[in-house]
Amino acid sequence: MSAADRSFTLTRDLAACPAEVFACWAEAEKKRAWFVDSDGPGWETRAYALDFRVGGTETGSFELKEGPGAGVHENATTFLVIEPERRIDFAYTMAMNGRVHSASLATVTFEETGDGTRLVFTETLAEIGESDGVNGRRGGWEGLLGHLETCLNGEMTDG
Amino acid sequence: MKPDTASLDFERRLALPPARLWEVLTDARHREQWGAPSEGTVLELVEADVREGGRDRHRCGPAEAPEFTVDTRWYRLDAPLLAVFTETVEIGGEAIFTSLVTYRLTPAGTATVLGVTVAVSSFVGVDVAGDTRTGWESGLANLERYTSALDREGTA
Repeated sequence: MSAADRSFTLTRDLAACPAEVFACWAEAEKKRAWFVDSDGPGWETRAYALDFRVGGTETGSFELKEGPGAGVHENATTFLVIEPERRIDFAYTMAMNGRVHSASLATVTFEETGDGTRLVFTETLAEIGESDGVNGRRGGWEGLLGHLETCLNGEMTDG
Repeated sequence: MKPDTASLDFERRLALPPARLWEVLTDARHREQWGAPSEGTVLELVEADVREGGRDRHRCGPAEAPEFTVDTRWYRLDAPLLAVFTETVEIGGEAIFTSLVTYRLTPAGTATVLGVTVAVSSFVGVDVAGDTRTGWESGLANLERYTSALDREGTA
């Protein structure tokens, strides 16, 4: 797999100012709303914790009860660089049933666009053994950023 | 603002078996010996805590004034075959780039094939891919010389 095949970029134009969008990444309650509580049916959150600061961590454990991908999925994140309302860099690993299968470096930028914020998410990953790889990470983040947009639009409901 | 990112791959056949090479790659004192990114620069140990979740710090730069700080955080240490870590380089307290590095060690007789994947994100808008490649090629050339010397001496 070439280096280019391990990277992807997602861009979203959001109807909220950079301060509001950044807060959805920085504040635990707001982050949880789109990152955790938006999981669809069949998912159970076993644990989640956010310590948003440089060197701080985010850990989550989520179980999919049945179907393709069933098992316990865990993220372990460390925040490397934080520029409020402008940029977040973080590294994270993904594990399934206790085995780490990918390690990623991700950069999120927030740009004022006049009527909102352009969010650009760029990730490069290394697969470790059998992994759902770049397609898995891209699909996961496409879903999560959709949930973020829904939250910002005030449309998210419990469950 | 568009992130300046790149992903690079390297592979080297090194003279030591995986267990000995693992020590050279992860021990902070060994890293001082081969990790400087260019001739005339040094990598000086400040603190080391090599364990998953641990953190190393080095100073890097010209010997008379190593002004860069290299902050290493270890994510995965499956000795002696797999290591995953990040390096964030700062100057004056400001981060200039961060990278995620994966080492894969494959036994090859009495030697080891080392695969290195580097994902880097720059904060200063320079040629991040070119600079990163140059720095790693220099460091890996140092590593080849260093491991060959250790192999001749029979110690690591």
